[in-house]
Amino acid sequence: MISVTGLTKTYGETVAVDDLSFTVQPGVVTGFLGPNGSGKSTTMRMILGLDRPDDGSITVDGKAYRELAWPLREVGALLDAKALHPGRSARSHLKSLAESNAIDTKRVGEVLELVGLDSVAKRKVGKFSLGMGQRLGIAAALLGDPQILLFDEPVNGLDPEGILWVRTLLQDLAKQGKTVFVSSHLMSEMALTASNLVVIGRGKLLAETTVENFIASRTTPTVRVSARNLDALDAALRSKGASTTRESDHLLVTEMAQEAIGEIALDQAIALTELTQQSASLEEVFMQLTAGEGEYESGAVQ
Amino acid sequence: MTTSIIPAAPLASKFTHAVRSEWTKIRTIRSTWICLGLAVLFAVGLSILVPSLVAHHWSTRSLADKANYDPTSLPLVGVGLAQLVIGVFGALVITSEYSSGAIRTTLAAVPRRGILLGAKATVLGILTLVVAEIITFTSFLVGSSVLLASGGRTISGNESLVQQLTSTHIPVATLATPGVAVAVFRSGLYLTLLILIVLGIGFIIRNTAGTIAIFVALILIVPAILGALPQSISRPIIEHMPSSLGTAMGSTHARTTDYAGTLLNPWAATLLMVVYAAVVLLIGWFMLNRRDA
Repeated sequence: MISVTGLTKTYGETVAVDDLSFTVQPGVVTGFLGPNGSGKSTTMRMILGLDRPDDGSITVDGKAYRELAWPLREVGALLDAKALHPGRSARSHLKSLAESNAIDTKRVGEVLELVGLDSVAKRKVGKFSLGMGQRLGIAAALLGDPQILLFDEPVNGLDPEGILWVRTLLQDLAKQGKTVFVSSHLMSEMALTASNLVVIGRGKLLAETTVENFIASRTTPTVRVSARNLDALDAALRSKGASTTRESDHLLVTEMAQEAIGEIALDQAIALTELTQQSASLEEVFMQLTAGEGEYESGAVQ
Repeated sequence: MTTSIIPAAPLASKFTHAVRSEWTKIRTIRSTWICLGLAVLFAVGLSILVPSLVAHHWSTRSLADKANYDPTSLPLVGVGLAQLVIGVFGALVITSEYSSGAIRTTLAAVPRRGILLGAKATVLGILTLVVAEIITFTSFLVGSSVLLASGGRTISGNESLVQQLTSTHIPVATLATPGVAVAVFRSGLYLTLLILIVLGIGFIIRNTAGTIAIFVALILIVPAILGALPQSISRPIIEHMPSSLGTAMGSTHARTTDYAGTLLNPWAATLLMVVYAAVVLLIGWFMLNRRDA
């Protein structure tokens, strides 16, 4: 478990993380969402004891990171896949990490095989593609078989096969009871991978909940319906208490369930050409919630 | 939830594992062996070239010139060139981690800053000491052989300075000459302490170009600028600068040079280099502890 309490970090005038508190539970994948520059990476660096918080505290399984006996055996992290010496081979890189934490060096071969890099183990990591670097970073995170895993944008640079592999891996790790904390700016990817969410904007906590609740609590259930005689349908639905919005060739209906709409149409003998429950995507909810929270926002094209 | 039991780790165990890791890191980078190989090559090369030139012109030199001659230091002349390569190597060992971002991976694995810095200094120090002793002893043996081959003559037991200077043959020291072997050893120790100073500067500056610039300024530029000042001001400073301490450490006695006056006693110079290295590494450790990675 990771506990973050009252975490604050400023760089000069900029408040990167502002009184942030949340916990990350074992057994599930927890997504860490926020626009670029919202403080995700800063928070992750502070969890690993790389940056010092100005205020607040972080514990991993009850201890400060610097106090862990063998940190790589308790917390595995992929922060920046390129954060390694380009002149060293993948195998030597992992070997040095294993030695630093009293991890059996046999693990090096195992994790290289696990991430599919065993054939390039002796190649210099500077020659690796972004995707290979990402796989090596994941191998390093898994090296000490830790109970807590942090991944900062793990699918960056991966091909579709790699993305699917990471998604399955993260879920498998969570199923084994591990604490899995994954940051991403790809909402669609998070919706498929994570079950819990920590959402931040401008360094502040915006939401800490499950993916389902996050979407459900922030959207009104809407049904999209269309028929040849749209006017008659509209009038019938309104008379039964629904709110409708007329679009060019369909209606958006709220405050009435899909089933009820179908029954009214049948009563009125109106043939429906479409009847769909609209579900907002995580992305839409996220954009709505974080509007104005991003550090860099693009204007509309004129 | 399964909780694996991680045994508590005493600091000594953390330190030895960190040393093992740093050793793997330093030996698996090609630039380590390129830098150290170049240092040996430059040192030995210069220790062939300069003694042969000096020996060639010995008979035509003035008595004052001959008085500045030191039979221990001349064959070690290549150490002066080797120190530049050694310094660049010492800078790269730490600054390449900062430029690549690898320092974050390193600190996540070894979050105790003191252990990390101590392990790096230990590995770099021992590796450099071994290579530096190879450099100094090889340079001395090669350089003194060149002198002998160019008409030099081995100094006998208790020969006076006047006897040495008035001789038509250039006097040559051997490792058996009193105080010489230990001076050659101290010369290797100088390179080792110097690289630890550069490592400390690297931890403070964190940038390759900046660290190398400060190192070169310290070794070459500052002494040259000071040399332009009146001797009463420049000499007391120059004699305490690392490059002069290096010359002092490679001598058998507190000898006199034209640029720094009388150098420190060799062991006093050694002690001062140890103090410099300790102070710079302590500042480096303090800053590593305080700053964000």
